[in-house]
Amino acid sequence: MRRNLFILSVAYFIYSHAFSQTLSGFVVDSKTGEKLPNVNITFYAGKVNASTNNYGFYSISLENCPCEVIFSMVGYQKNTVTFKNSDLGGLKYIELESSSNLLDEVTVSSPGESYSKYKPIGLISIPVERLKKVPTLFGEEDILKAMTLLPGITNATEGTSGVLVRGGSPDQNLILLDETPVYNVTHLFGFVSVFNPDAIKDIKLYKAGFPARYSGRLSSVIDITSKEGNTKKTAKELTVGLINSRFLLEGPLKNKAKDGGTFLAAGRLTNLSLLLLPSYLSYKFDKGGQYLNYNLYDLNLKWSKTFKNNGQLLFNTYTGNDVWFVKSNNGQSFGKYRVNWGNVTSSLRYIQPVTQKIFLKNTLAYSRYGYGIKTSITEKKTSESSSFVDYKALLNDVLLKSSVEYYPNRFGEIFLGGELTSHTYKPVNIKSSNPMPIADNFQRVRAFEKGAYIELNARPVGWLAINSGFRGAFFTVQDTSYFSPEPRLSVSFFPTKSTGLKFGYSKMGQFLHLLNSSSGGLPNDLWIPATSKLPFGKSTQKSLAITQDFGKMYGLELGAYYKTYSDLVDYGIGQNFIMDFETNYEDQVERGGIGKSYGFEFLLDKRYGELSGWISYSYAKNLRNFAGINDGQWYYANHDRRHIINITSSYKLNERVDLAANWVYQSGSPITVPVAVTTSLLITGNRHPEFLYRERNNFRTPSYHRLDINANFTKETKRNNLRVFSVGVYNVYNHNNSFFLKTNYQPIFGNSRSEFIGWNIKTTKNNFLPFLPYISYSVKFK
Amino acid sequence: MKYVSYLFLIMAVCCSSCQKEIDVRFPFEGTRFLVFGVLESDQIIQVKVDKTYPPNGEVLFSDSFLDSTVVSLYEDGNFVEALAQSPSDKHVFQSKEKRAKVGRSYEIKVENPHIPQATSRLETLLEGIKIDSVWFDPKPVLSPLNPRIPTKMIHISLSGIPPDVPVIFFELLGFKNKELGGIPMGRERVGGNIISTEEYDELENPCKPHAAGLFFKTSCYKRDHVVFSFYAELQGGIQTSPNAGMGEVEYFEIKVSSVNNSFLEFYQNTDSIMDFFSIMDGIKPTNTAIINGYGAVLTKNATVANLKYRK
Repeated sequence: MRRNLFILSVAYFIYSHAFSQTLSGFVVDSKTGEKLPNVNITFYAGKVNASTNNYGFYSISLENCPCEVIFSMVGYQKNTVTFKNSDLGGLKYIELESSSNLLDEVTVSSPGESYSKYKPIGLISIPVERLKKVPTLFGEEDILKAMTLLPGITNATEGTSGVLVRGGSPDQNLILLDETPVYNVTHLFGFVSVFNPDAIKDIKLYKAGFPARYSGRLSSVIDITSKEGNTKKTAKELTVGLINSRFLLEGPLKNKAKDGGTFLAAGRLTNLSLLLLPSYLSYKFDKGGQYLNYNLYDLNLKWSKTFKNNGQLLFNTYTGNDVWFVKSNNGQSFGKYRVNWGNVTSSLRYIQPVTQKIFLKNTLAYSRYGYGIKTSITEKKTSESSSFVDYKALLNDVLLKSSVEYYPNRFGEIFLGGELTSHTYKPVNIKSSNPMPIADNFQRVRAFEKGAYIELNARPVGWLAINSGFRGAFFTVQDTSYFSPEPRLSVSFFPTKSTGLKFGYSKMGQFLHLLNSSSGGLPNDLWIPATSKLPFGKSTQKSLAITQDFGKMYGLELGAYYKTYSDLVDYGIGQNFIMDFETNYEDQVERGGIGKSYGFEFLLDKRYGELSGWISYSYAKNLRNFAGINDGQWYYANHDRRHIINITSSYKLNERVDLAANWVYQSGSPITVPVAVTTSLLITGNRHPEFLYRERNNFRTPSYHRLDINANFTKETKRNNLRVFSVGVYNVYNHNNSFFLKTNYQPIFGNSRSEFIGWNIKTTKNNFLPFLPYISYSVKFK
Repeated sequence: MKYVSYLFLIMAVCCSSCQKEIDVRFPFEGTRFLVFGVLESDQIIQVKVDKTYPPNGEVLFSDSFLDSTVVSLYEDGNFVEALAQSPSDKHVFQSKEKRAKVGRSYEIKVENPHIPQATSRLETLLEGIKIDSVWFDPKPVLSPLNPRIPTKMIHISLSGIPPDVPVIFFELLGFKNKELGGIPMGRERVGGNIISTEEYDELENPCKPHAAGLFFKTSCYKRDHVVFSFYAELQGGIQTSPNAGMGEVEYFEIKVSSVNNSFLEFYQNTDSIMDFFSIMDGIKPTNTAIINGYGAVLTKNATVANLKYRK
């Protein structure tokens, strides 16, 4: 039976191949020449649907032309092109004109075409320009933070960019920047993400139904594509914000991009040094006291060259670093405390449409994440360092990827690929003046990861789409080898023109673990590989979704999922790797954890019009079970939040002014708090309060909510530059959302000062981010 | 620019006035007993008893509950006696004449009509360890912590580590003699760092010492003969241990104890107070060897040697 089916399939492919002609090429922005990913392509009166890949490439098979093909994308005016048989063959560049008004109805594609119907299950793909309009902390446009307002996605800690997807922890997100993994995606202790919105062209987030081309994390894939650079003219942009200032410079290397390629440089630099200037001046002129400073930068550089054979070579690099330091001077010695962390990613890619039906991608990439703490005390008299500790944690990846996309006919595609990754981990590297023995400088751990996949996209009939695939991944570390078989399947039924019923099944493996005691994506979180003692994590997710479009403007999506985890790790009880030098990380963790998360999601999206936005709701439960935690009983995970509501809206008042607001509500999340207190008199002889803890996550923080508003005032200057002045307020009604809990105690004395009779213990929730107004100013040079 | 300046000013005022703190009340699990004691060979058995209080609000110490508290001693599973309250300290309950014996297992039960009964884990008093000799190394050494403080290396030679002793616990205390007008007035503890010469690192090498180098797992050493070495600072300094004074050490008291794993576990316990940086820390459930309560009743069998220091 299987053999017959196989023969039938092959015959069908050959048949369809023989009688169709192929239209292929790239879809580009008419103004900038940027190749556009995820452009919706419909033909045969909307009965057949396809889209461009990450490089803007498309390939569709047409029969019996003339054929009308519609190219459409949110934010662009749709382009309807009629092709005759004689037009087919060769690569066709299709231009889409960006709409000056993102919200304009003209951007809606043809009647009957549906935004959400053909969207694969679990995929969130929202135009970057739309995400940039979402009000965020300090007015820093942050696409990653904006994504956390969608159902099933939330942030780890208020204001931070640590992303949690369907109960997963921040490390369970595969974050790719131009096909290169990025390990720490946060600046400023998590308050700003490392992705400069000016340099980003597209962001896709998969929370279920993962295509087989992605692997390596348990909960989500965030695939970010940066801009290649304007092919038509040199463009400049400068933005001054409260926290950061940023610039963008892009353009053709020569007069015409087709001859010489393009370049892009985008960077950000923090303004915090300026804000902290009084602290520096006080330190400098008082010649004593303390001086605190914070530096942050990132830089995206991109270069691309297109060859005559339509092949394209792309080189891009990202480097970013945060440095927080405190200097002190007590008159006798100088003290320095410095924390720094940063990523470097680089990739060299070669892409080529080998034929009209075959697209080839090759990538050589490098990713590095480093974190360090350095403290030192220098004697003033001798200028000698009397004591220092220098701690570093490093992670290096070198990747080689190759893949082929084959578009045999209009009924589907086949993607094949493989990749090799060399990982080098050095989780502990300490130099110290203190010869006090410490278990420092563990041998670096090297690991190799090999993976191969096949992905089949089939659209045998108009009402059915299937994405199936299989990925096998091997991981070798310390004489131990692991194999992760990962089947993937997503099936979509389209019972009506505007309805989609979707089912997804994914199995994922993760060969590295993040020891995060904080859950906020803080830099002291430590990446460690799966080892012989720590098996790799696994997850299986089953999900369902129903999508329904109501006319052109509204889309409704209902989703449900059930996800299980195994071989999870977590910090051992009370462990903090950075603070506990005397034990190896492998013994600081609880191993063999299992988990489950399940929930229901709702999204009502108004995509167009003067007033646009979405309302989302998530109901979720997220549990963990470790033999060594809470006596092996199930407990709610750190990220368990029962209800999350997000309302995001933007309103175009007129050509010059647009307004935006979002309201967020989240149930409290579990934390571990003391269940009692006693005096430590009996054991240590001191009357300090001894807080007693029983179970992990035994208390839920109060619920969280806030309203943010933003207004953008746009004006064209006399020199035809575009000036945008933004004003906004974070947490408008100043709700006290607990960022952290703080416990203080005061002694209570009896009749005399020596009669110590008790304490007054007070725990308070501290709002780190109260009513917070901000402004920013940007100029786009023409 | 003028308007921008005004805006900044308004923002600064708004921000500074918006920080606020709101009280949070943690749920109290109810009053439990805190029981602590170290039973030592041939020493009168005694334990200390206290109770827990709510983790928030006004906590006023109270010891009136002790009057209606019964502390029962069990040896090898048999009830021995109800311990009596010490006249000098209401929290201390002690036997009239029962002394801990090697090879015997002990259990303490604490009862009160208003507090759930607490029971200690069954702990056996292990056989002692024989100290062959202790001596100063004649070679000059520097303290790894405080190179300016005069330091000697002490070697302790042990033999006959009993097979059932999993952990050796070292205590090295410095003393000086007190006298007033030439009349001896006893001794005074003088703080001085005692530092193991071995790196402590239980994971890479489980035989390395634990907890500041004073706990050693016996499975890693020859039980018939082994020599341990320590740096001993001869002067109390800034980093001296609590309850110890400044001054020059005249002699060391060296205690080598056979203890079990629960003793080691209990001493690795730490407390924590929640503050901003606690978001980077893990929270540690309180280490307890008391069922339905907190604390531990541990056993320790110490062998003592003295080593006099002459300049």
